[in-house]
Amino acid sequence: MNNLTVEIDKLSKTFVSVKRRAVVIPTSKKEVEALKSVSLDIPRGNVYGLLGPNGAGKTTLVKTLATLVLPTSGTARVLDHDILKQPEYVRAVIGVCQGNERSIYWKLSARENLVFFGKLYRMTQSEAKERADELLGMMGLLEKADEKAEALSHGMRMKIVFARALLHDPEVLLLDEPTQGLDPTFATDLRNHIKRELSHKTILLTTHYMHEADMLCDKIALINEGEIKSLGTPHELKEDVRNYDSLHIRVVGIPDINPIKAMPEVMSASSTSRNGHAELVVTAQDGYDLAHRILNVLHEDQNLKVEHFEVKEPTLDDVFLKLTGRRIED
Amino acid sequence: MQRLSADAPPNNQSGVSSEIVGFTPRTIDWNAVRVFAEKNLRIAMRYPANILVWAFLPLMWFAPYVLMMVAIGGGSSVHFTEISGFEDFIAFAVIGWFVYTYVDTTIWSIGQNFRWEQFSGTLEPLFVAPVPRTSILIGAAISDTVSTSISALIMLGTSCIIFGVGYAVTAIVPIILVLMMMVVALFGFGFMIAGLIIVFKDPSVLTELIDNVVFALSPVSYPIQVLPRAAQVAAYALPATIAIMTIRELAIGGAAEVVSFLSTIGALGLLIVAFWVLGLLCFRYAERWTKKRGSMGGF
Amino acid sequence: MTQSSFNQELQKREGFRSELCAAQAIAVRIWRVELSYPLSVLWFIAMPFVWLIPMLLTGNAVSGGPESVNLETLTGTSDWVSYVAIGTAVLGLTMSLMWGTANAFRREQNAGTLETLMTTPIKKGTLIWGALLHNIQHGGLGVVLQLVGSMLLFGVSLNIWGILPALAIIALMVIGMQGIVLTLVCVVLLAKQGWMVIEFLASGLTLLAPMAYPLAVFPPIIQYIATASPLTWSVDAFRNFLIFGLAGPAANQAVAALLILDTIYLLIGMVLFKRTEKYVRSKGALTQF
Repeated sequence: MNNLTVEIDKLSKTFVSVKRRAVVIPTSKKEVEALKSVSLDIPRGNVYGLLGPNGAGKTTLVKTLATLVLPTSGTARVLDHDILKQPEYVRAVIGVCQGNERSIYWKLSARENLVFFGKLYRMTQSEAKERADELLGMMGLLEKADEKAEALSHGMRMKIVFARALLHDPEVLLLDEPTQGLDPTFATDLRNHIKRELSHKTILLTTHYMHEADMLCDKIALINEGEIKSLGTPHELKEDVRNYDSLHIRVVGIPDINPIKAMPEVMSASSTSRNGHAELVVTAQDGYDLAHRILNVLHEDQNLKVEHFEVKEPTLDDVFLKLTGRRIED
Repeated sequence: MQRLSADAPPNNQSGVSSEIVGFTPRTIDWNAVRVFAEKNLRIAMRYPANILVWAFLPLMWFAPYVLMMVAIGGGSSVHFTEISGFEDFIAFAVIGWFVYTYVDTTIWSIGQNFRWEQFSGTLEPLFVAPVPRTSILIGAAISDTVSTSISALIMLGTSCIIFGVGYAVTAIVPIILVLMMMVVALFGFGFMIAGLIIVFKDPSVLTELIDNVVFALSPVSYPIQVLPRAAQVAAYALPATIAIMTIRELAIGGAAEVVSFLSTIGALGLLIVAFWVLGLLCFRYAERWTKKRGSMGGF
Repeated sequence: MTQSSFNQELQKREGFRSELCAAQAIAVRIWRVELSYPLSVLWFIAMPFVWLIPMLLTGNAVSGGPESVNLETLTGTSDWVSYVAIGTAVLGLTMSLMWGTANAFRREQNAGTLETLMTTPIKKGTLIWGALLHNIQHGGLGVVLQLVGSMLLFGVSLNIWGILPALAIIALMVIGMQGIVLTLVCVVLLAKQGWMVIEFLASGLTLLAPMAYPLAVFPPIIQYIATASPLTWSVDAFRNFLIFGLAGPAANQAVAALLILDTIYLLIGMVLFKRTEKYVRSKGALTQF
């Protein structure tokens, strides 16, 4: 067995939707390339992140690895099992957690849910019960073990979803937006749990939270429009934008950002406004030198009051922006 | 968009606010009823296949009854004629099923309307609109009645051809009158069921139970005389029993006695008042009950 | 419990037995969810009777007593109450099989649990077998309930020598129906309004099956079509065994017909299901079908 746990080999997926008239006559055909020849190898015990905006292909990649979606071409191997030829074997060694509280039975209790799924992973009743209690204890849910999932909070249900993925102690975990929609405390709990307890697992994590990727991942793949644009450690990725600064400016009023965008040193400028205040984020080379000119444009030319000004280190979002021309949270 | 311009005065004297100032909650908002019924019908027309499905499916459900009657009774049954007063038990059953289609629709669709809105994701916008929920129910009931009428007429026509039965059209006006009064009474019955559904939140099983019990009590394929005494009393308290019996008499015999017809109209009038009062009270109570327990979201 | 060895130990447990355990777990889970709705329990008990009572009332209105000369001419028995009560006992089981099993995927999808189930190492068909197992238990209990209730309330008498062969007929019926159900699962997977097809097919098969009347009441062409349905043969043979015992008419013919139909329907169903499931995965439409 080689040291690579997950080997993704030129995986492509094209979704074809055909509009039909009178059920059978095709009128138009639309093709969407969700994955374009994606290759990625994940060594044993590493946490790899897939970072990209909505619709970038992250979930399609996870679903393909989880054998839920058949690729158009290419393949992947999980612990040497081919996802096309041995899907049952793949499913036995992976644990999948999709950030969806609906993926458990609300009419069953936390324990009943875990025991049920345990049996689908070939455990005996006593093994499943023992494992369920072990995981519920780990998640701090033992006291709520016999309450129906519908009576629990969103965060607790998500913990059950997460525990379900760990039931059969899989070597590989596919975590698709595991903290999406969670309140900050629960999200932090879950991240800490992944960091502390699952350090020996091979994990593929999709997220669009940059700090989450930064905190948890050994390496991050930046994915956009079905292609991996760059792969590296968070530190390596940020190397690309080391000369850039991220300028955060808050003003009273609605600014016109076109003159700022027109400056040759500026890589990007965006503005979001709320309650009559606007927040500008400008990414530019040598930001300190540029700050004066930008403030002049806002204050002198546009007569806006600048409330706050700060120069920050570039983030993974800036790396993504440089590579793709769009922000992750677009 | 004048009313939203910056020049518009910011207080209640402006045009935009007068609507809000003049707003008074109503028990039933007939404009909303119309709008909601139109919306439902427009959606129903986008699925013409559904109307056809509902024309032919009930045919497959009641055909076993007719076939069983033929197997047991042969061509005719003296016993049936003695207790019911009708010679042709197939003609008897077909018209019974035609009228019962409306009862079936009332039980299934009015009660479940909120459920469907929830599935299509439009329940919350409807609930936050300043429209009484009873208007939504009535709107749904009216649109359902229109689409049911189309289905039921197709079913009646097809049944006449398949089973070789025919009906008198001389009394069509009184038939329509009785049918309409029954439908209005059924609306009230539907409100009661809607109330039960928002409390029990288990629409399919509850409606299935109610439908089957109402069907067993209604004189659809057998005369009311075959029911035990207590069940007969319960049957008369249902909005459809009297209507089924009268419409059957008019459609098969072509006429009815004036006194008996007028007493039917009077009884249906009473049933309308009783069922609307009961239905609206029941629905309101149920709504308050769920609001108090905060369980509306779960439904 | 060491980490990876536990997973490896689980992986070794593949095979028929593990699939059967998974199917049983699914069946138990459906029971649990069903029983969590109190009205469902009431409905389960009341269902056989609320369907049967209107039929008996209708029959009574026509016959005026417990005997029917016309039925005797057509079937050899004049006891129409037993004839109808035993024939329609299979109705609940048929509906459970057709609706419950065919909608197994749709139900999981509506609940949001389909994808999660599909990421477990069970075979795709196991989800359907699990639902089938539940529906056999559910529908089977319904059959027993209706027959016992009919004996106690309506004076229906059963021939005890026919009970075991009748059970064998039910087993053959379930196999044939499973082939049809697998085809229906494909319809549900591919068509948004698959329920219409199920409704038409379930109602159509029920209509053609001689539950409350013999096939003789149909025109010859429909009688001929009805023989292609395993339900037709099953209902007739089931009732004949329970009324006439082992001396029932044309038992061998029914068993032979069922064996042939079961083989054909099951093969068609399995091939279609395998192809459809692959097609749906290639479309990536597991959550949106």
